[in-house]
Amino acid sequence: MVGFHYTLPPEGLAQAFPFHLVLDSSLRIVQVGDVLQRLITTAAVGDAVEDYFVISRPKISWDLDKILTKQNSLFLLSAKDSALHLKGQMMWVEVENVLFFLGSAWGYNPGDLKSLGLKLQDFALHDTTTDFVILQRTSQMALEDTQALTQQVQVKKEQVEKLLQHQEKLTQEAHERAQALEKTLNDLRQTQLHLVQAEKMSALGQLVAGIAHEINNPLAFVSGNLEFLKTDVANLLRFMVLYKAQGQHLSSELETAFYELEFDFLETDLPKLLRSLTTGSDRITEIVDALRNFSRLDESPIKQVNIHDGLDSSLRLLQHRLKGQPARAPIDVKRYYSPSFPSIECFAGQLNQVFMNIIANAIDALESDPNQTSTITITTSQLSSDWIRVEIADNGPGIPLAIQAKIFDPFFTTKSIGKGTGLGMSISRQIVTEQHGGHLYFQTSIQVGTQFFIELPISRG
Amino acid sequence: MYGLINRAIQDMVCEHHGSDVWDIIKTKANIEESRFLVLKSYPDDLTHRLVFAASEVLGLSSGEIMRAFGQYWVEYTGKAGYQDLLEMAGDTLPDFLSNLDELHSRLGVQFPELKPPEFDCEQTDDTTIELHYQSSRQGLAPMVVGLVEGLGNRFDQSVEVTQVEDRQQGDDRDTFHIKYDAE
Repeated sequence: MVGFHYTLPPEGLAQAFPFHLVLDSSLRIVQVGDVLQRLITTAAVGDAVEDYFVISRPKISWDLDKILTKQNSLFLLSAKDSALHLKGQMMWVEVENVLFFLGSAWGYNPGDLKSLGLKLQDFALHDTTTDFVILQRTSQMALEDTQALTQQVQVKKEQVEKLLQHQEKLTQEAHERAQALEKTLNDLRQTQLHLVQAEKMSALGQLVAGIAHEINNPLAFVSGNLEFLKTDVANLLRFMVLYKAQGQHLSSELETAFYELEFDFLETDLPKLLRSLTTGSDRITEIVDALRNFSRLDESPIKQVNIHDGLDSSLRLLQHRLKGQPARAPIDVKRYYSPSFPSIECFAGQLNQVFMNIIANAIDALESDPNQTSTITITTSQLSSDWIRVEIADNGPGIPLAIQAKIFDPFFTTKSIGKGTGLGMSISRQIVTEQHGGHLYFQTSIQVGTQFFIELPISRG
Repeated sequence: MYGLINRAIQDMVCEHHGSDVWDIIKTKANIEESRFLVLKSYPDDLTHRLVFAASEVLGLSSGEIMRAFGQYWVEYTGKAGYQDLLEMAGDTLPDFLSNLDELHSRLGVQFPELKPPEFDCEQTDDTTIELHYQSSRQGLAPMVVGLVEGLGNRFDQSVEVTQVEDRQQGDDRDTFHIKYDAE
């Protein structure tokens, strides 16, 4: 670099720095830029600069030595009597013993400068102060754009979220409707099944009741006449014995007849036959009673019923299945009936159907594993002043875990086609829970057995 | 053109004719932007399409629209936040016009894609100014007429603007003869 040889004349400097100050070594004003002079009209040559300005930056007082150490710092001066701020630098000119402040008015927005009465032409052309305030205003507009766009994005986002929520709600509603439809369909199927089964049971009940009634009358003749027959036969035999005792007066023809009659055998066998007939007749009477009790068609739908009678009737009707079979020993039935068991208000015919289903299933389970001693245990108990429980347990193979959850499903069966409808347990649960407000559940253990619990309210109130 | 210009056109149409008309113009001009960004530089073609569509929809010539826009622009820049700056640019119409080129020079420094026009102002007598205008863009002379009229409104001075040189007619530049009331 060759060095600097040229400088501005004082007028040129004043034009390039219309806000400049020149101070002497005692920091008194010796020269003021023309625009600055216009802004601080009272400032005159010889006045102390500290009367008009404070140094905002750097944090020093008006002290020449301190100022000289900060010649490389940006100086911000603030007018004491106005909102004028100056931004610039301090330069000490050794030759002339003066301190130059070269800078410009400063504002954060055009309003700050305008309020001081400044115009564009008050700034030197090289001065970027006005450019800066224009830029600042433009940045502000860009920021407003950004804020508006952000708001638009937010609005769109909220709209999308609302739509998504709406969609989710619709999906949920559709799902709920589908579920409701499925439930309705299931209910309808259940109702239909129940109706079909009820109709079947009703028809069967009527048939059973009809048969029982029809059998009952001739049975009354049989059992009633059997007593007379016993008396008559006893009298006849006694007469025959007496007659035979008069042996020497019997004709040979009567002797032969006695012989062919095997009277001695007849005398001992006939009472046995009559006893057997009586036993058979009693058995028929019991079965007819059981059939009538089971169907309960001769009674009102809801009444106070002794549950033990229902259990006994079911057992009697299943007697043929409880007996020993060629492939297995008889099934032992143990009844632990509570002596203080109350009558309960119920649909007796329906509950009998439940007992019949569960006991029949227990028999099926026991038949599937004929090698052990089979037992069905029926226990009744009163749970509280309002509830009773019937427990029907078997010591069969138990219900495998995989099918436990399906036990009460309609059409679920482990039996071969034609052997079971798969409706028994489903309908039983419906009868217990829906018709009677009770509970039907089970506990099972593999190779130990299964217990079904029927819990019912004593009163339907 | 920067988005500020396009947004000003939008606001002018909405203010004077309603947002429905603006939607029609926008559709006709095949413009999808819902908001013009102030600092974004849009193709000049977009602004030309807007002016052309507005001309068809409003039944005005492009020149009339540009002139109306020039008037609106003075008012709009004030409302858009440049009010203080405009006030610093001059207290009277001649003052302001003499600073017009300076103002555009400073804007050009900050907006590299602005391609600002040049203005040369010549006070011919106490009530007359010759304003010479040169731009790299074509067809904006009517806007200058509106701009000077808008400044007249701003300073509450009636002005009469006559174009005496027209680049479209083969002259080297556009020149406007401005006659205004002396204060």
